[in-house]
Amino acid sequence: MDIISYHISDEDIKEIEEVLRKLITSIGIDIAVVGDEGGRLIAYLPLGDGSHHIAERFCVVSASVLGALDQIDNLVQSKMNFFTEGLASAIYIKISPRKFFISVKFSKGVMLGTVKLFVDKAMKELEPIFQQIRERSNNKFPGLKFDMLEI
Amino acid sequence: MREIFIVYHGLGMAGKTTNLEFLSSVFQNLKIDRFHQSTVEGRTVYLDMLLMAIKIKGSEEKLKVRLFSTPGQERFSVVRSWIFSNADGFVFIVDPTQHIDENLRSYGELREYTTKKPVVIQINKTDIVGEVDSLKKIFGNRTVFTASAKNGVGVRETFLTILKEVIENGVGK
Ligand SMILES: Nc1nc2c(ncn2[C@@H]2O[C@H](COP(=O)(O)OP(=O)(O)O)[C@@H](O)[C@H]2O)c(=O)[nH]1
Ligand SMILES: [Mg+2]
Repeated sequence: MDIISYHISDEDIKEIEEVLRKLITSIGIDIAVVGDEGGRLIAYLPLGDGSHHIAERFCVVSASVLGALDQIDNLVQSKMNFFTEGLASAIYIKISPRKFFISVKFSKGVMLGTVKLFVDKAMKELEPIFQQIRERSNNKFPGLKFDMLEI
Repeated sequence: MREIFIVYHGLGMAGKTTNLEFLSSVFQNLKIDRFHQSTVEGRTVYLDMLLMAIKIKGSEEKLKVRLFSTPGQERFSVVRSWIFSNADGFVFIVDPTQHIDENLRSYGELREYTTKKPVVIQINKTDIVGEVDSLKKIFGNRTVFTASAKNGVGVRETFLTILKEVIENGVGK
């Protein structure tokens, strides 16, 4: 089914989580998510009560902001990153050429330069995984039928 | 991870947000998230989203269904392309209190996306506009529902039908 054109295995997710784990423990980051250009959440850390909800929201807002900003002269795609800061916290997003992204929220006590450095490093480690995921075909979904839904 | 992305489109004030609001309360038990970025007048700015997860029989997995409405005002047309190109299917809400040409212009914005993706039509506000048979004919072989989103009439049916059409459209491809 053509709902998502790629397939991610549990192993991919474990590997991605491992990279995120290193990232959030190296520097003080509140939340890190990996998502795709359509705002679909792939992995996030830290896990825990209520964090899935926040991660879902963080992911779709990140993707749609990037999608909107790109209407201005491919602004984000060409630069491959995005940064914004509020009073207490800031957000940095790094986009992969494979159209996945890492989005992190951190307190303003943490230096942006450090965040950039570590996020870029994480992206380098994730790139081969993203490449694999995109290259794998999508026909691993068994056919889903409407009457299989409990609604 | 299976996920379906459905976009509610139509003129500003047609009732897109009202559809999402109603679904959000009917499917309270499936809801994961709901947010609506709005102006002080309640108009949708950019993001109006309802995310649900539906259990799949005989499976541990859930199907995520993400509903988005589009900001109706013309000035937002530039940011709509992100929403449209990520959609798996569309609900087009007709506002019978507005001129048909205006409705069709808005419908036309979907054209390039709906050649391969399903669209279900909802003629809304039938509580104030009675006769809509002539409107129905305009949409030919598309599935058309009449509704009064404000009163929750036809909203559920519209949603379940687009969900079904998206799933059927995808199977075997
Ligand atoms: N009479 C009537 N009003 C409706 C109906 N559905 C929505 N409205 C009203 O139309 C206005 C715009 O609705 P909204 O959902 O915000 O439109 P959107 O711009 O398409 O998101 C609101 O005041 C709603 O209460 C309906 O079925 N009947
Ligand atoms: Mg709205």
